[in-house]
Amino acid sequence: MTNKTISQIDKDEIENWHDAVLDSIEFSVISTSPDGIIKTMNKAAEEMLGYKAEELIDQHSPAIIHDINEIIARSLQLSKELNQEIPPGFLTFVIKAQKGKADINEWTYIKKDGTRFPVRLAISTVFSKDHKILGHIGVAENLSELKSLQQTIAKQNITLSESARLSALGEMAGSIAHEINNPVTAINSLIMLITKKMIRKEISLEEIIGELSKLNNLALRISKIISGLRTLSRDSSKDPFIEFSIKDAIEDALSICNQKLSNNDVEIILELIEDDIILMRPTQISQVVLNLINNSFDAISKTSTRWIKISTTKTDKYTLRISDSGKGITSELLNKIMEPFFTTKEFGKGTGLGLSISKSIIENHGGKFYYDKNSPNTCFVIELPLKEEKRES
Amino acid sequence: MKKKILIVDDEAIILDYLSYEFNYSGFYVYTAGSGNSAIEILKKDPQIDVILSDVRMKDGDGFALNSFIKENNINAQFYFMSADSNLTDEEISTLNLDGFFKKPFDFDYVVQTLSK
Repeated sequence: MTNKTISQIDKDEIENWHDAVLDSIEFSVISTSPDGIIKTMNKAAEEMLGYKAEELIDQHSPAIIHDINEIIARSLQLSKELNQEIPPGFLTFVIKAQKGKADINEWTYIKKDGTRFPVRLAISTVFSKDHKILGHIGVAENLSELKSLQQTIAKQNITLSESARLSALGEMAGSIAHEINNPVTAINSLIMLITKKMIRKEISLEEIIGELSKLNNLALRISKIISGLRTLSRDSSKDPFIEFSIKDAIEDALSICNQKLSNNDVEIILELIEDDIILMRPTQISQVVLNLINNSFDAISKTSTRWIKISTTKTDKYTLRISDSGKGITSELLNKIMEPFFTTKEFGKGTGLGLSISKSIIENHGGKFYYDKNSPNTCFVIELPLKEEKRES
Repeated sequence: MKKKILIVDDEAIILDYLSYEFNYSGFYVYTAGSGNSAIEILKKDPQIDVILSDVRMKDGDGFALNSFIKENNINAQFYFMSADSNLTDEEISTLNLDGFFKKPFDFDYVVQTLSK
């Protein structure tokens, strides 16, 4: 008798202890009978869902806190995966857990007041010692904060790449004025030449036509610079992947920095293959190339030998190498150059975002972006998959 | 005696017109497509009255030409013309220029100024 009483006390204490443990857990814990009627829910579940335990216990299945469309979608997915028909219902939640391993997925929970929030839900089946199913238990973590944090980070990343793009553009604004003013001056001088010669009756109709066609070429040169500028200044992160030539993407980038390079006596060496059509966001590839050219230019503009070489080759992938007359990047800098905000440029000249963004652009194209340590000169390598291969979008 | 002008620019179209116009205005005109070829001309004929030179050029820029003139005591008026908006006033003032024309410019004004 005495023994029994002591054992009874122990049992009560243990039960109290278990309840206290459950109620101190920050995750929602809901258990059900084998057929899916809610049997217990802890304090966190009440707080998260806005229901009192007695409103749900013995009356409802967990379907009441779930989105029916998600249950249907999950049942279709499971039917396919397990190759048997899983009707949308309680079985959808527990079919995998019944096999003995917790089934963990992201779901939406719906509160009593209709508010929705994302959760990571782990469903396990509770077995007796002789392997009978006693019920099920679902432990859910509220992901709202995590999700909103992720969204904030994603938004910040967009802002960052935006400001890097604008800064790259700002750096170029001066040289762009120069690129455009040169042909404008040439247009002026041609118009003056034609006008003066016409006034002085020193020009024939044929000669006028010849001069006018030069005028046309100059106007085209300006429009090419402007279209390059427009292309490279717009946000291309949502552009579709289209079939485009790597060579053309490189030339688009060159069209707006050619003048700057030639004025500073930087030789451009191009070794580009012809058969180079891949699926890409052309503007993004041009932006990456332009960024590398600008980096090269900044590094070598004060040195005595100045060249930038761009080459492409095709094997089981396309490899684009951009090297320059610089003597390379020291090993202690190498680890840092791909990190956001790392820059060796003087204050106000670089954001330190160029290479990190270039890397993510190329990786989004299913490619690789890296520095070639074995090259005697500074050399960056871009690898892009052939057209047939899949890339994530 | 005709005044001698040396015009230096890597844009042939600009060179063509300026050469035509200064010739018409009574100058004896030399043209060069780069700083270094301008220096070659000056080595052969240092008795030049006016030099009108672009700044940014391959193969010897306007600064190189400017220092050649100072080093060799060539007594010519020296004018720069450039589309480079990055050129600072300080840079210009240290060069001892007789004038600076920012491209694009009024050609008649340039010709009048240099003909004085």
